[in-house]
Amino acid sequence: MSGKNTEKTVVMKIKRWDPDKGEFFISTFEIPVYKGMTVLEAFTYIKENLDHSLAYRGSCRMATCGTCGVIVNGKPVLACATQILHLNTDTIIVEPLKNLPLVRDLIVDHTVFFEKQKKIKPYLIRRNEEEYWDPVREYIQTPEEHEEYMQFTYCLTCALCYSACPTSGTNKNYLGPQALTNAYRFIADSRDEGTVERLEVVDSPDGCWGCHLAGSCSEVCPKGVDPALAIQLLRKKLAEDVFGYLEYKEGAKLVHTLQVAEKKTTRTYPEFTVKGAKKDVL
Amino acid sequence: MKESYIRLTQYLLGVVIAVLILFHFQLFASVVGPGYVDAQKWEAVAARMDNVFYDALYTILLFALLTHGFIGIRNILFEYTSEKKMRILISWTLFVVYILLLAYGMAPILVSAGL
Repeated sequence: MSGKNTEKTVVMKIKRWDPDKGEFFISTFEIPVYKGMTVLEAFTYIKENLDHSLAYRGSCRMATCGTCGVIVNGKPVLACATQILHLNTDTIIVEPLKNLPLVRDLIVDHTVFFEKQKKIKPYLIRRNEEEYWDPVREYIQTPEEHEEYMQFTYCLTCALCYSACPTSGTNKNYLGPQALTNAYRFIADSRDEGTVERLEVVDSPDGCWGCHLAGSCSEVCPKGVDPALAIQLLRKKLAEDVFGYLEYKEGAKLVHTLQVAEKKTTRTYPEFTVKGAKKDVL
Repeated sequence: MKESYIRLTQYLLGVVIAVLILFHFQLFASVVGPGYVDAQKWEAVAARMDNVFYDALYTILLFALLTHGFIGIRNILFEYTSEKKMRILISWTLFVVYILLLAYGMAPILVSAGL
């Protein structure tokens, strides 16, 4: 805080989970806010100056790791990407993310969330096992093919969409917007050959058909990903499958890595890097 | 059965229902005309039931409405439970009720057709 001018003081009410008693309690703090101060910095201020027992998560402080998700004034946000002055209020109510098991204070357990992501096989699936486990080449992909799924790769797995989703709140088996978006991300990837496996997983009342089109997932995504769109595109893929005009990919063509390097690289690298690379790789 | 077949059937029948109901209204407005109230009398209904065209219309409408509605009820009830056994029970119970209602609805159509 030193060297930073305090713009105003806000009241922060934090809804904290007490695992021993199994109930919430509210802690109220007065925070001197400087220009640019984020909610995550306010947590740090509280922990350092007001209440050492406050439990919260935070890591990168630049909306990249997706760790610090909380609900601020009713909306799931990343604490590190939410400036207090931008909230335009003197009272801030902070809660832990919804639809996930509580651990303590503002910390939730993401295990269920990641287990659901695993179900949709979030990795490239290739038919050629030998080439898959011992890759010696890279796959050709045009900019247009990349554009098909690019926005869905921005997902941080922060679980804000999962917290905002009303279906995730009522159906514990629902895969959730993040997992479904990730499923579409791989189905739309020209290099992937796992469309059948993934469509089998999402074709269920707990998959893409469980979505109620509330759209809150897209509303809260800090990276501008549109999970609601991805879910509709998944339904479109399933409809194409039912009517028999879904084109199953055979994966992008392979191209020899060295050929690409020889053809496209015009940059010069420091000598030691090239030598090290040669030593390690060749 | 794959979930996508069930959902797409419901969506498509929704479109069929919308078209048939509009057609149904149009019939009353244009063919039956100002005598709309009379068209609902027993004799008028019985006379229409002798017409193959109306029998076909009612059959398709009955099938479309019941199927669309029961899939909808199934979807709603599925939201109350995520247990697989419970969902199977719901599906079969609804299917039995669906068949009974379909038979009940088809009875006057079949009788009027002399079957």
